[in-house]
Amino acid sequence: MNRKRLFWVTGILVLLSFATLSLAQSGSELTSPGMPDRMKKAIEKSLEDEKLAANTRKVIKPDAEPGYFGIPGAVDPNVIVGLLWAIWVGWIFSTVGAFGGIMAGVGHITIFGLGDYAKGFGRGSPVNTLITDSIRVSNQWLVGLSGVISSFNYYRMGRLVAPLGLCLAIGGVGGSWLVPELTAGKISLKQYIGWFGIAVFVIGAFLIYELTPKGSAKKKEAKAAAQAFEKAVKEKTDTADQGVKILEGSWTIMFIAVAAVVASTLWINLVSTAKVVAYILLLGGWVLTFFIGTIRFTFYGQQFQFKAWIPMLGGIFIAAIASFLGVGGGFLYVPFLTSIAGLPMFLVAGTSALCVLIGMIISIFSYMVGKGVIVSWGLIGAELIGIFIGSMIGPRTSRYIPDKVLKIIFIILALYVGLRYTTKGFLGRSIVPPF
Amino acid sequence: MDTIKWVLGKIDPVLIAPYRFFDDPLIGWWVGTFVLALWAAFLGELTLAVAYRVNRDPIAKTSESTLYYHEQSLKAKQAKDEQAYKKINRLANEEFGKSFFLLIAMGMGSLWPAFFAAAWLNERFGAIVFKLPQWAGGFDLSFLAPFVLLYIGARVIFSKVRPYIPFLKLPRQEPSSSA
Repeated sequence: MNRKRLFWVTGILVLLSFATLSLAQSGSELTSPGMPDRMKKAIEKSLEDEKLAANTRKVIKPDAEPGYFGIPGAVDPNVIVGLLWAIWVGWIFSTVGAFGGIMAGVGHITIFGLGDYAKGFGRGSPVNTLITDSIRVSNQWLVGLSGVISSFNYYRMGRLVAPLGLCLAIGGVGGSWLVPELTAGKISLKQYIGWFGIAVFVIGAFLIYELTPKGSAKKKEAKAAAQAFEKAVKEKTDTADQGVKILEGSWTIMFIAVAAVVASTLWINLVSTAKVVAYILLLGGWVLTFFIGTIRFTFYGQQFQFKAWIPMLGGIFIAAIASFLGVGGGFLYVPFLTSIAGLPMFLVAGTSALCVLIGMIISIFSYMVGKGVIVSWGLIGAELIGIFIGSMIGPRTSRYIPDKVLKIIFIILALYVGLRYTTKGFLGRSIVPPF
Repeated sequence: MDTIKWVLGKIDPVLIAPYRFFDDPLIGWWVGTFVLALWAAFLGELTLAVAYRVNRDPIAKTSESTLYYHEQSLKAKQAKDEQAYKKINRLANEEFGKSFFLLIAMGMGSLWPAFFAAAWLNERFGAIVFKLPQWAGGFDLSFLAPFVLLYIGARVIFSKVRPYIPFLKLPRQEPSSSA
């Protein structure tokens, strides 16, 4: 191609680009210049369908000030309200624990008004599903960050059972990308809050069980057992034996299985064609885990063992639930590792933190890179400041509020939130006020 | 949200200045973003140091009872009393949960500057795309991936220098391995 021709072609292409850009901007008066591209596309797509277009035109007010994600007339989460809500979340985190994650979700859905706003676009609307996915990912950023903070410390302290973490990860990695792959852009806010409500009920049921005579009796028995062993002299163990020492387990198969599931994640998110390859890699990784067999290790001189496929299956379900609801999943990993794998406390904490971390990275990566979901960075930053302030207040107030009273407060709260969200999600209206 | 934009606008001149240290825009971007990551890491470390000082007593108290139940559970395991081990281990987990979530909430608090930095980067450089070379897949990356890498680097640097900076030095809260 000669030089002159090249200039002409380039010139025409540049002109065409500008023309396309200006047409794209003026094509819909419902978008604004500061709006993320992904949201612009979602609005434009919803205008293609007659029914959805009517809803979209009704909800978006072109002359109003831009709100959430630059949508004209959208709710604009107030930073002060966000901060105060996050202080409450931080307070719960530092007094009752995992329930804080649920409350972070309640903030995004109800307190900031994003839930009702998204619902206004109607079922199947790309704007509705984009805001819903954004809520899920924002929750995950907040709650899942917990894993980042603790995993590294536990690793340094030798309190991570690497094979157990890897087996959980083999399941968890798949669970974490399967859910965004199958549900991103498909779950409306109504469905999401319905399932969120059910999760709140489950956590409420855990709290109720702890307060029942059976639950309290178990705790008393455990305390008595601890006292009985108080006088027993602990055998001296070599300092080198105090960390985790692996005695048996096939590392080769384990690494191949991990490589297969990681490759499946990269394929599904970065390669848009032949998705079947990702599914084959994932299934291959899962099947391989059954050939790893039993893993034995010592911690503080005591021997523990588990079958590799058990944490793999647990990892699939826990990560899938966590990814769907936009929570960290720590509240499910801890009872799983304590009851089913029978791990000692320090290892449960470290290993569950690692699993939360892996699940969070995969899930957020799949939503944001694979599916193009967007979040409001500033809002998450403001919420983190609130959580920090709340965690300062929590230990001070818990001195004056007995544990039992705290649990009763949160059972009532869980029942209220659970009822409200489940009925709103599945029946279309809340049966508890505000209706 | 306007408040966040207002805050970001006020600090904009300070944050953008390092981007103009070099004439080459690419070098300028990397240097500027690394300085931004250093700011975010420093403010985060400062927040964490305040949190540890304020919450020192409650953390020490829960760590003590956690360690107590952990020791008893291992004694039960040693005595081959699996039932007792499971029961006491559950108690140890419950006790640990209290300090665990408190530490997590504090740690999460230390990350707030990184999210404000991401919000500022989104306003300023949201449209920038980093194209990976073909051998690396040729994918398009937003500002986020390089920023996360630089932020991790900045946190690693601070973790190395923290012991030498009086206020940032954290007291040891985890029980020692004497159990």
